[in-house]
Amino acid sequence: MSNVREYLYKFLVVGDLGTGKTSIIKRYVHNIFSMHYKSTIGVDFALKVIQWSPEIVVRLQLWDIAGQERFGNMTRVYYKEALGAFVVYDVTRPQTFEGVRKWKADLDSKISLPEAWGGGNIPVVLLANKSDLIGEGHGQHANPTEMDTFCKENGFIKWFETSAKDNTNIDEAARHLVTTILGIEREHLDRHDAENFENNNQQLRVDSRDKNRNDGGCC
Amino acid sequence: MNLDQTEFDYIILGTGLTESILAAAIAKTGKSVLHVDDADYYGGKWAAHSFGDLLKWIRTQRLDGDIANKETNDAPPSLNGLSIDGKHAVNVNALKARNESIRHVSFFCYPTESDNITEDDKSTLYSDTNILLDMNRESPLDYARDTIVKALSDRFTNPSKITKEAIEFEVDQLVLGFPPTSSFSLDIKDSIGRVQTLKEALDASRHYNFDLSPKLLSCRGEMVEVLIKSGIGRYLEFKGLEESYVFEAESQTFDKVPISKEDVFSTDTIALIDKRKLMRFLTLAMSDEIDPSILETYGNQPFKTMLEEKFKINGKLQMAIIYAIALVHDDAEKVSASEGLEKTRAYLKSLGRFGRCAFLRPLYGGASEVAQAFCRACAVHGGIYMLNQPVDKFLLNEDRSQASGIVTRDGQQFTSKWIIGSMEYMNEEWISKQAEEESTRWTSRAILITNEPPIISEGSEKENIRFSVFPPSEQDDIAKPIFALQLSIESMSCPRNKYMTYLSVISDEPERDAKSELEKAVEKLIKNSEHIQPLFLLYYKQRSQESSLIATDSIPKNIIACSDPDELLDLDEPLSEAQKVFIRCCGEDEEFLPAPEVDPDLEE
Repeated sequence: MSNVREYLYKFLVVGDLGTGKTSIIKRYVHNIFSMHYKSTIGVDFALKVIQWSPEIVVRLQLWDIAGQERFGNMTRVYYKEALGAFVVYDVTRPQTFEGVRKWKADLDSKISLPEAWGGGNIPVVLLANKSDLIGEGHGQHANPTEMDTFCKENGFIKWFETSAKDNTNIDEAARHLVTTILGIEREHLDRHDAENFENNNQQLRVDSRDKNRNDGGCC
Repeated sequence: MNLDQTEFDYIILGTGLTESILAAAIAKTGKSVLHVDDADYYGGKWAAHSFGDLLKWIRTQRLDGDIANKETNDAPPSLNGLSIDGKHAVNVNALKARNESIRHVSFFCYPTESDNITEDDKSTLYSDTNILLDMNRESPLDYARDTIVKALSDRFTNPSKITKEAIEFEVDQLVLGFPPTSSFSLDIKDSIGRVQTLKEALDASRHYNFDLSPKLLSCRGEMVEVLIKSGIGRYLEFKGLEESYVFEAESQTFDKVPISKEDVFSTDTIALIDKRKLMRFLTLAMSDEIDPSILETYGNQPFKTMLEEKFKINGKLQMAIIYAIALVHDDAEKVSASEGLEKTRAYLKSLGRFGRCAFLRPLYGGASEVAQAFCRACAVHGGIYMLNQPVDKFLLNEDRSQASGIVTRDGQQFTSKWIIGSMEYMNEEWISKQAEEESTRWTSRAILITNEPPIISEGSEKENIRFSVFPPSEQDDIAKPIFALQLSIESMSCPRNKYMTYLSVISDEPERDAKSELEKAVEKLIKNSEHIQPLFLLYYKQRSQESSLIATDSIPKNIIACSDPDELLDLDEPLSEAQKVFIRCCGEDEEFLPAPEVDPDLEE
């Protein structure tokens, strides 16, 4: 066995209907973009495996709200064990920005980081999507100062202007979120290990696979 | 909230377990599903509530009379039969029905002192705690409420939003029993303590999951099989139920019940001679071919008689077998020997599959978590979810034999070929009065929150999940077996260092309050250790109606009802009902929750 450490992170992608959540995921994971995207039936999340550094592999699960849960009625299954999230709005439709606060409040009220990581809010990145349309005369660029203030006031760790169509800033946004979480994990690593050592009361899964599979964290 | 799509193959009303299993199973066949609930949470009568939501639930139940009246005024029965676009409209009143299914709610909060208050704070908090209330005036209750709220708020420096919420709740509970006129002096010392208890719990609100119909999964039950095969099980995590106890009236102690062979040999609560008898019985129950002469002699006699005569098992060992191993819910006399053997066998077979337990507890909220896993599966297969969406009416054809759809409270119409709904969505006129008695049962329930585990034996982990039974006992005035399930942070049921114990008993008397049927057992739990400080205690009585209550000749042919949660511990009954409904409305040829085609772990 080499010294490669593997991390499994679950990220949520939320935002109002039609803000491009699925396109962002498709672009990031499969590097494809289509104007006429139909939701994938029967799949919970898209998985991207990143060779982060020679020693670190990150397996990233991106959970879409499946369009169907469009009224914000997500189950606990969706939220639980998520370690980070993107809130997406559409720069050409200002009303979708109004939903941003609601989504952030929803995330904060339903998920927190593991107890061993301090139990605070999970890091959330704000995405101002469809920036490619600005060039075509729809909507306008976000004001960086205003956006910085907005993020600070509402607890977003950072914002990015993205385009799934032109593949702008999506990798950067994901990298920022992964970096943040790796940082939090490293910060709490010692305590986390101690906790795991004490906590030998393992949870059970009803699964035909190996019962002792290690979920989340590092293997 | 408007939806563009208005035509569906199936509309499902209520997000309880049975309806949610059906939602997932139907969506997986490729049919379109609209899943609606009038509440803003998943689970219906199977729901688990945070602490804050539990307080809201208690308020709703307390006001249920008012709400029921108001609802009736909003939609008088004469509207039944009103026509909309040429269709007959029939009323739905799920909120009213849901409230009527709960009775005798009483909630107790015990005063505590926050750890982090200074001596200075204490002197402010507890200075002169007597306040004078002169009720001889107009709106005396409003006056009393305002006066006490102010008196309490003044004692907490810069009361937070949560402290204010705690004060409001405490005062509302307090004034419930006030006389309308007279003057009296009220000592608010206990109220100050209760506000602190409430505030601490509200601060940790989300870490509490109050399960209104607490359930377990049998390790060899059908539900586990379906979860594994369909892949939906991967959404869930569980804790095993590690220890079982039986309350022994004579010694007034909780004795650990041996559940495996090793247990039987290592336990010191059973005499050697009893161990041999027990092993003989367990070996018989497990054997594949039971000696026909035993069944011939004892098969139809009570289980108890067989244990006494055939195995010479009496006293507390007999109690342990009947109530903690065979899990007999009702009067032991009613259970035949063959039924008892079958139940014992089911229990023994479930051992050893996932560790040494026979039952699994889903993390967080029990059955409502399982229901949500099915809902997520439905959603990823294209099902559309609308919570917080009261349904007002069913639309029926001329002779009322078929339904064409529903109308929501805000006037949207949705059509579908089939409508499936939990009992509270059924129109009152479809309920057969004759069947009402035999298909309606009541369960008295209690939820106790303490700072220490009430049931524990030396050397075992505090956080373990435990089960205990109080067998019927004349001495303790317990008429039917009372079951207790003790949960902790390990099952994500409550915050760390808190313990949540669920008690339940079948009740033959709907009018008798839940407290009187359970308080003896609650007392024994609280008194089991001197270190136990109770924090909250909730009693309620829950009605369970089977779908067989619906008269088949009065309900439209394409509306199907799903039963309420029953009094049994496991989840196999709702699953079996869902399978039957699935065959009825999807046909024999469709596979029920087949294995998934795509393995999400492999998709890259």
